Amino acid sequence: MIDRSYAAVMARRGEILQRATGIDYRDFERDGVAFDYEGMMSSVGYDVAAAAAVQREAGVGRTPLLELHRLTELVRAVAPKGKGARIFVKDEAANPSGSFKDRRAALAVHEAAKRGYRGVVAATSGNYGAAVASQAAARGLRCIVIQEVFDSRGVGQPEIVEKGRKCEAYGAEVLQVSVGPELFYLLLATLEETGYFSASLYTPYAVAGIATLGYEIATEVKERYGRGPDAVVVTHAGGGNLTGTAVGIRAAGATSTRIVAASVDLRGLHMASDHDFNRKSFTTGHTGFGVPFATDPDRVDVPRNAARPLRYMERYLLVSQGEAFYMTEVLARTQGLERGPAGNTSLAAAFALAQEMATDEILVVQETEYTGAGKHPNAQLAFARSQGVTVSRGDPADERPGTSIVIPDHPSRIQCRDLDLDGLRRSYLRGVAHRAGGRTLSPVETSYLSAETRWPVERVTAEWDALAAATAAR
Amino acid sequence: MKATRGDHVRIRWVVLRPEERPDGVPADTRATPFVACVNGHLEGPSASIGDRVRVRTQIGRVLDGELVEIGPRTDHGFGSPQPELLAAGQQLREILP
Repeated sequence: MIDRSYAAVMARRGEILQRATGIDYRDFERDGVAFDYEGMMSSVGYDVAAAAAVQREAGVGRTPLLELHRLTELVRAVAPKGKGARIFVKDEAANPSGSFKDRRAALAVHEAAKRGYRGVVAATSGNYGAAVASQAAARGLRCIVIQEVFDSRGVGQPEIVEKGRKCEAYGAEVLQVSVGPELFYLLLATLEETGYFSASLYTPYAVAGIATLGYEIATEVKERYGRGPDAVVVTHAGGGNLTGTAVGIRAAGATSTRIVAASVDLRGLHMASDHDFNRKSFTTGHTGFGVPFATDPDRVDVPRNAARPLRYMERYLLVSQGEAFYMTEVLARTQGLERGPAGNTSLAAAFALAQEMATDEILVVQETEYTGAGKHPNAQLAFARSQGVTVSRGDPADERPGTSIVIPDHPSRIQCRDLDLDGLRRSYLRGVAHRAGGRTLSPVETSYLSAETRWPVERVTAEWDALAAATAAR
Repeated sequence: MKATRGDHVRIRWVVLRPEERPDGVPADTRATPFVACVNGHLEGPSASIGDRVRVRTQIGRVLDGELVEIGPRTDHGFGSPQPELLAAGQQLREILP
């Protein structure tokens, strides 16, 4: 009889994950702190062309890139004279299950089928579950989706309830759990019991699948306008969307395109708190994932995360919940595109960023997602009210996550709010230093940390020494 | 109301009791059990809400738990149009004629 207690299963995590991903992560470890990121990514054999071929077969990708003329007009109505970049959106809702997550799922499920697994398991409350379920259905594989859905009262947010419904519609078994990080334990136990493939969001497959999105954007903009986009805004949560998009943009030769991250600002809410769980209206694309996954990417369900957002992020903008809901309304009213609010996080950031850019510059929002019952501003705002959150019109800067949602009372209220990237890099380094015990770094480790933080080697060394001195002083 | 063999039902079970939850979980969360629910078709004889039952899920896995719903529903919808968004929509018409 196998011991399936919490401690026993967690102790077997390494072997369970190796069998469930087909990747021996130990092959890529270097000197303790570092690992061979490029080696790990290339080991799975999916460059942009290979990923695109799998996706084409699965009916994924090659979504329309739409110029948002009236939205741009609205930006120019509130921007300083001469400002107001042209805004484009990649309509990823056109993918089979309604989001860009199909790109990641296509590769993971293809890989599972190729390797002879009978089924796949994904732990996610987001659109990725539906994507994996959809791809598994199309390849005749069984699928289990594990979702964090409800608090201890059994109350679930309409958005996640909808995602659960969608997974079941594709024939998946949906394990719906209460709030808590032990979802990872249930994932491991389920992988072990079933012998299925782990369609983790953080394997090289799941990240390589996104590269086609960045590649399509950069290539199409170059074909139409003779140069790459000036900036691409990416909704950032676990880091795969940003990492994969950036890799694809660079692979298309768009070396000067700025990569801008955007997250819904939920600072102050604890993501593992039963009480806070239903006081947020966004279940992903928010700082509760975006910040920790940037500063400690390996905190995930695989030993080494293929999503390394700090390597590519050049700016990080925060968006309030009210701004994302507002932009969902704006997109519907000005462009005739009714899409899901979570996918419009980057659109809200783009609306702010475009006001700082010249009128001849090109700004691309790299996703939309499907909308429907539950995944809709009206349903989500009604739910927020039922949980005691106030909803009003005014200045979105006054919004307090978990207490209030403020719908902008004018588009001019939407302005850039930056999260300090150097602060994130320092926090990243502090975590590494803590785990490494503050010892001296090898040259391999220093150059690895330089790539991880986009800081020059000298800066990494100086910051590392300062951390060591502070630790010694304590 | 009773569920009979083959009916589509929802079950719930405790994965970890509060005392089995690991350190580091926030206190309010740790005060409650970590529970799971799944939908499936009832195996075995008829059962009532609250009974310990076995179901077969859509992919054929067999799982045990407490019967909590017969014919599980999803009641999420679109809600009613929110006044703050309706006002925003009207304002857009004024800014962009």
